[in-house]
Amino acid sequence: MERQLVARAQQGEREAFDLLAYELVDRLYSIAYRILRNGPSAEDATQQALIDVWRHLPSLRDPDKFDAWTYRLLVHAAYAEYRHRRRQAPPGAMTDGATDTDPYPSVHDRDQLERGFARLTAEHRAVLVLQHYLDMTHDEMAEVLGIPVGTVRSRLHGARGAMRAALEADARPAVKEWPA
Amino acid sequence: MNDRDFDQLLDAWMDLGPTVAPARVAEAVRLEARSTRQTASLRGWPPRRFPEMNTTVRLALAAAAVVAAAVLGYTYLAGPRVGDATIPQPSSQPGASIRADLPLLTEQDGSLDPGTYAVTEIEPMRLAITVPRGWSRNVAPDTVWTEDSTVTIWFGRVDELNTDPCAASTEMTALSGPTVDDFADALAALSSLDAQVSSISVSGYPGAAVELSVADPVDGWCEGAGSLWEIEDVGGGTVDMGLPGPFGTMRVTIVDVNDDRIVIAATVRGAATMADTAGLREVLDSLEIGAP
Repeated sequence: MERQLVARAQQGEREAFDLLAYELVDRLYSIAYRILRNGPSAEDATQQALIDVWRHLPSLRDPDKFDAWTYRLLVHAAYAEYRHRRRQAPPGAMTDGATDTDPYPSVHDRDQLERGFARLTAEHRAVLVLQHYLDMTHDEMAEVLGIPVGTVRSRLHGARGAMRAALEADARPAVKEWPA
Repeated sequence: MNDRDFDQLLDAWMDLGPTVAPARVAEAVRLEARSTRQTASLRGWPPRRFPEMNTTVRLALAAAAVVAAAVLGYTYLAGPRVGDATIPQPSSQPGASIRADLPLLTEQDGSLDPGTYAVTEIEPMRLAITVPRGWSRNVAPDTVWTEDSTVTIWFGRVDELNTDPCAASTEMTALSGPTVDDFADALAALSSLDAQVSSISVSGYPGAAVELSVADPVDGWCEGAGSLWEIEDVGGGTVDMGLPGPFGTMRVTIVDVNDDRIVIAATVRGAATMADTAGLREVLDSLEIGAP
């Protein structure tokens, strides 16, 4: 079904793209939110990624790679949004943080994880989200990000190290900064 | 905490947060798509040939390019303007010999050790650059930067251009043809930008250097999209190649490598220091294009 919609949207059929967009929007927003940790930013990145999907669909060579291609557009949009907000946001601007309704991880762990995540670059955030939210393999992540597998591994290593360090730091009030 | 517990904790933490987008996102996309044109596929481009140019003409052009490059190179080296970049050094033989054991730029991430790297971003070309201390590689998009991001160099091909980069629209227009001149002419015709076009040669390949600057950086600087063209990555994603900004310059090197038009775009922002621009000169001076 999705492949047919992709093929039709590639030919410029807007109704097919509308259906595709409705199928994609929640998934893309969920990923964007986890990279950016900010609702309005995630909305902007998702919207930009979907418009990019529409604009560049004719140049997609292999429709079977539509998902990976779309993720890549989203990650690029998230990178751009991250840098845009970083330039504009005043010091101390709040991230949304996670909801308080889930008992696990603990509030303390969540604060520490948020703190560590806020310090990561957009590139390091992306690899963590692709691995821990989308359960991608290193090879899949390399394809989506357009980087060598070795670079994926090195980024994951750095990102995990930073998160672990934040988690194991002494309990302190979380610093909510955009993005540190 | 062992690795397994740590992974489980990250998995659980990632599961927190919204999984449904606000309805306004899809609606905004639907409306914006209505007023957004799709880009044309580039797959239908004709083979890049110069049927009107015989060998004698090519040699004459190459010789003229060498002279022009020498004159312009002196001008850029001696000139005091911030943001100037020297043109690449010409070579007497088409196609440089690039060592096979050079580290690949694509395998670098973050700060670069000073030295020479093989640039393979323009497949199947093999280029080489030498970077001084203080440069780094960015992977999205594939570029090399000074550490303070005031100077950026990108390698690729360009087939579409935003002919009015100061307009709110980011609609791209296909270039009129595949030659170096087609692209150089299109850049020179951009509104709101001053352009100086000169003939050059890189590793014996003929080309053009286009120096772009904002025509009126005080009153004429646009706050619009500012996107010149789109950078397409291996996986099909795109990002914008932006304007250099007020008081910045852009040096676009366009080279014809056996009928394949390749582009090396150096952006120098107004905040660039003399050290930054000196570094750019070093990098561009070192540029070599290997024989395909």
